[in-house]
Amino acid sequence: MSSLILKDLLIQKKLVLLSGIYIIAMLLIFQNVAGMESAAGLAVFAVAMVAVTYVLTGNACAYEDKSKADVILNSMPVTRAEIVAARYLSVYVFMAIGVVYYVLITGAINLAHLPVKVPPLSGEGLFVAAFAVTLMNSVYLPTYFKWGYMKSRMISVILFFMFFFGGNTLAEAVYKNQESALIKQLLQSVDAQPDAVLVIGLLFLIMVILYVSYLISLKIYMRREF
Amino acid sequence: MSAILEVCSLQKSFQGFSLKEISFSLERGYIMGFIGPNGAGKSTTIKLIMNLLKRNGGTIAVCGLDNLRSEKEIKNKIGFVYDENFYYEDLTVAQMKMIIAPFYRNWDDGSFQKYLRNFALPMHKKIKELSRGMRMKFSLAVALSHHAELLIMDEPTSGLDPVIRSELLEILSWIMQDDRQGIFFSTHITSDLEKIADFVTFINDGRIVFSAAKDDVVDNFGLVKGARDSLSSDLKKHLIGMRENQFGFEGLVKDKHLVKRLFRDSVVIEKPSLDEIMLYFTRRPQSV
Repeated sequence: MSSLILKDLLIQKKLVLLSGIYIIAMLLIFQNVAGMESAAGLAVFAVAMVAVTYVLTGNACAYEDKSKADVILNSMPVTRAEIVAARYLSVYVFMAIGVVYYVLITGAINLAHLPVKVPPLSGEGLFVAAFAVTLMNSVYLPTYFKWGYMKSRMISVILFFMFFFGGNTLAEAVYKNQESALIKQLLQSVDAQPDAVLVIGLLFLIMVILYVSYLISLKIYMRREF
Repeated sequence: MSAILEVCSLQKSFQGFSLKEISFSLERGYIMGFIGPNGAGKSTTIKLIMNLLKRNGGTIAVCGLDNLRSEKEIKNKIGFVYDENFYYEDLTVAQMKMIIAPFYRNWDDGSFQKYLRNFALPMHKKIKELSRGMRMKFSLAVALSHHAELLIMDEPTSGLDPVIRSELLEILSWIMQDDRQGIFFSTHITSDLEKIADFVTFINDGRIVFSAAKDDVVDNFGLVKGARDSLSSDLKKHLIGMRENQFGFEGLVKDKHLVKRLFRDSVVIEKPSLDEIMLYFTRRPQSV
């Protein structure tokens, strides 16, 4: 399994090294979003992580397709379940790389006192990002296993822009309407929950979405012929 | 000795083509050539053995193990070389090895290094920078570096120049000094098999035409030649396929000894090449 993940890094090592650029791009694009240091900052961080995983996952899938790698992988002593699981795990390895880049880039911006607003990395941010990354890839990966990269590309583009604009719009809407009764009630009910409940609840939701998506992908991939 | 590969009543249907209950087996210590024209079902059979395609019926056993139930186990015992390069082109030989080696329980790095040296493969060259012959040698080095018992090769010589082809055949002959191994080698370049194969399995239109020792095939089949007036209806009954021109005819018979006894000096009988055998079998519907 680790070999399959290592492969996903090696086949696109240049892009992995350059993936920090996407984080810088996201920070610059969302400079004018209100509330960068608070609620909207979480969304910006999440969108940055979605962007990094979108680019690296999409590129890894494209490279697999181009190389007809399924033929070679399925001829080696590795099960289809391992191939599918590794594809899902790679997404979180890409996200971890994104987090490391984020820490380095925002740290460098703060140290250099550059006039760029940077949302600080927080536990909440990590959960929101993990949730967004899971949701996007859990929808995308079954389509990739079904149709391959070329045919599923359009779906991944639509999904990315949904998260890109959706995340931003949602964060701005929450920030602008924080005085509205509904938002207040929603935020209060979230605040009223102990942190542990929120963390466990979100983790549970992430795991359920991921597991259902994995099972769908596995079912599809088990039937594939090469 | 037990069969290293046993295919029994294997079926697979696609739109417009089907593999029709094919059966054959290969013993340890031998090379089996799998021949047939393009589209006959060679690659389909190999993909079914490797579980890249899902079979509709029949069984496949490698080293006595079912290829589906013991898939991981038998893939540790199989080395494969395919006709196309399915490796990651932007990776170097060393990086590819780094990815592939952990999959195999019996990966032998010493053997891999030895094959790289013997095949003059540069460790730090990208796969896309290797010639077709070098890529094939890289595939072979990988296939031979995990103590595989069965080597499966799908058209490994297609697109290679005669020097590299001959080199490959020498390597295969050398591998077969170990009689615990077996090689299943599909090709449409039958001259390669005449040099190294012990057995030949001929597939045409999804059916096995014959599966037999190569020496028996070339000893029993005969290429019959004669003038047009010697082409009697009795003789025609023995012909698998033939071609005629204004001077005479040429055709393939399955039992040249019988034809020799029956028709004596009215015809000339020569030893056919595998290519000619394949040609006459596939021409049959048009010519006889």
